[in-house]
Formats: sequence, C-alpha cells, structure tokens
Amino acid sequence: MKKTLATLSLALMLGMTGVMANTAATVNGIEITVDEANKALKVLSKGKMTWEKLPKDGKTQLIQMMAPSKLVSEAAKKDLSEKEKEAALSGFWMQRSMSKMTVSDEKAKAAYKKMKKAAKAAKSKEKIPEFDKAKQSIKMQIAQEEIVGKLMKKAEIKIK
Amino acid sequence: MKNMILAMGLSLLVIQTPLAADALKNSLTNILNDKNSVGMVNLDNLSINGKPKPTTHFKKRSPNTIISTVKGYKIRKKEADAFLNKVTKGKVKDYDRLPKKQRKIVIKELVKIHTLKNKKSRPSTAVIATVNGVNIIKKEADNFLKRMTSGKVKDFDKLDKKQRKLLIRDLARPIVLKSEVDMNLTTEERDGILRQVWLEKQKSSIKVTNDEMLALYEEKKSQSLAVNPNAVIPAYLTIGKQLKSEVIEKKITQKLMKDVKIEINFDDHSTEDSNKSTTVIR
Repeated sequence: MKKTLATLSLALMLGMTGVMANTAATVNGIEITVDEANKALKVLSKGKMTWEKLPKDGKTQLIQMMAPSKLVSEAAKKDLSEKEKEAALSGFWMQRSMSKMTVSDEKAKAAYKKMKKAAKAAKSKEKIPEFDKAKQSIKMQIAQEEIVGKLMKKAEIKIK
Repeated sequence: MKNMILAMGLSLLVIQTPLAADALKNSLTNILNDKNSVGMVNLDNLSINGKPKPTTHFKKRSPNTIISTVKGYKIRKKEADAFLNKVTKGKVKDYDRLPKKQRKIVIKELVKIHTLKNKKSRPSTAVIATVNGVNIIKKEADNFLKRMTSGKVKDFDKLDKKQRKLLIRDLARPIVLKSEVDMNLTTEERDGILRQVWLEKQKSSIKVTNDEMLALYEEKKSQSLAVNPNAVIPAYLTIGKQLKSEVIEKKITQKLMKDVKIEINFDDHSTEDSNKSTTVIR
C-alpha cells in the first residue's frame, strides 16, 4: 500500500513539473503557456526568437505585452452575459458562412419582386427602396435563410 | 254606415285620378318642349332581367338551443353566433343561416377552442421539446410566446399542434446555430471574438476629453521628432479619430493592469542559475 502511494505521489509530482514547464507566466493567476509565448514571439521576431532563448528582461517585456490581452479575455468571459456571447459567436460564424456563399442577382431580384408584391398586398405604407439599393441586403438575407434552412433540416427536433 | 264608407272611397279616387294624370301630362309636355331632351323616358333604374328572389325560410332557434354535443361538450347556438360574429367581423351573426357544410366547420372550430381552453397546462419546468438533445422547457416557450403576442397569449399548452410546431422551430434556431458554432469555431477564434465584443462595450462607456487627446498628440509628435527631426507630422484634426481610439485603449489597459500580479516562470539555461525562479511584478 505504501509503495502504491509513493508511486502515485511521484507520478503526480512528475505531472506537475510537466505543467510548470509549459507555463511561461501567470497573470492574476491566468496561465500564459510557453506555446502561447512562442506564438507571440514568432510574430514579433519573425520566427527568430523562442521563449527558451529569450533573456530574462525580454521574457518580462513579452509577458507584460501579453498580459492585457489575457486580462481582456478573462474579463470578457466574466462580464459578458451568455446571451451576448452566443450572439457574438453566432454572428461571427454566420458572417463567415455567408462569405463563402454566392447568391445570384436573379435570385435576389425574384425575392425583391416577391417582397414588393407582399408589401402591396398588405397595403404597406413603407417606401420600398430601389432594387439596386436593396440588393446587397436581400442577398445577405437569402444567404442567411439558406444556411439556417440547411441547419434546421439536419436538426433533430422532438416536440412533447 | 257601409254606404258612407263606399262614398268616401269613391270620392277619394275621383280626387286622386286627375292629380296623377296631371303629373304624367306635365312630364310628357316637358319632354316635348325641352330642346335638349331626346324625347325618351329614362329607364336606367329599371331592372329588366329581374327575377323574383327565392324566399328561403330559416328555422330560427333560440340562443340557448343546444346545436351540437361533442364528447359531452354541449354547444349552444349563442356560442356559435358569437363565434361567427367575431370571425366574420359582424357580417354573419346567425348560425342557422349557414349551410350544412359551414355549420360543420363552425362546430369543429368551437370544439377545438373548447379543448384547448380546458386543456391542463404543464408545469413551467416541464420539458416540452428537445433540439439536438438540448431541452426546451415550457417557461422558455411561454416567455417567447408572451413576447411575440405582446402578452395576449402566454401558455404554450393552449396552442394547437401546428402553432406549437412553428413556435418550437423558432426556439430551435439559436440552439441549432449554437451547436454548429460549438463544432466549428476554435478556442482561439472564440477568444478573439469575445475580446473584441468586450472591448467595444468598454469603448462605448469611456469618455475622452480634448485635453487627453491633445496630450497624446504632443507625446507622439515629440517621439516622432526625436527619431526623425524632419518627420512630417499630420495635423491634429486629421487624426482625431485615431487619437481617441488610442486614448481609450490606453485607459482600458491602465484599468486592467492596475494591481495586476504577474508571475514569470524563468526556465533559463543560459544564466548562472539553472533552477526555476519566479519573479513577481506588482
């Protein structure tokens, strides 16, 4: 039993050393890994410098440069509500997905005509802009609808 | 007595006949004398294809008459009349005037309304749907419904099947989108996006004065001139936006770095001390 415990604690210690070796610094307890530091250095020194080679003052300078970004990340996690986070992430993903899509002018024109007809039928008093002015936003709307439509088709929805 | 009445009637006829004859005579004389007249009598208002309307006799029942009983639910005529009045915006008010086919539809609708009205609602924590394995509880649907209908409808369980399906589809969208985002965005991307949103939020609440911007301008100007005395310095007004943004960033960084505790793990083999040492900067 004693042997097992000793082996376990040794293994734990070795594990801890590994973790320590991977940590370049902590900012208010938030870890900056060696990997992260190296990534930043790669950009700053155009691939000439690594964390290991960097002198002490250089390390201090680098960590001080990286600290605000880490603190912002932490503050964002803490301060933003779940809804804000979701909206921001979904918005970004949607923008990215939409940029990969192309909607033809014909399709946009057809949608524009349909909208105009619907507005007329509803006796809407709102002024409908010219097609050229509305084209871009109509295309975005179509793209968004197509993306969401595809996702909804795949989704598994069970109503109880 | 009888003779008297007869005499009175006769005298009235005698008086009226010349009056009517005079009117006709005058009208015809006018037509003949009027130069603009085409000499025709206007018959525009006369329907020549007029057929007598078929007279339908409705069996009018009292408002309290039970017009149908469905699974114990007794439907009275007044209910159907009220429903009709509401649906047709007052154009049709009497159930008995409807043909058989339409009566059936009205009864069906009334039964539907009655069933939904009397349906027992589930507790607000009940799971009403799952989307890609994520539960949607009744409270979420009720709140959404309340928002959508401006407070007119508040209970998901009072909706019919089609309406429920539509509502759940609306609620499912963000869930479906979230699972897609979770699968496709890297941790770094997420971090970057959230950082940007947080910074934007901070920026909108930070005020910058002209003096602060001017101080930064002067600082940057002297820095540039120190490096290159012949440097072309842009006019203060042309870089106002950039200066404001920089002042804001500076303020945010200062706020974040206040009382910050940084511990650096020096694992430096080139120095005299090969042991790990930790420096604390406050």
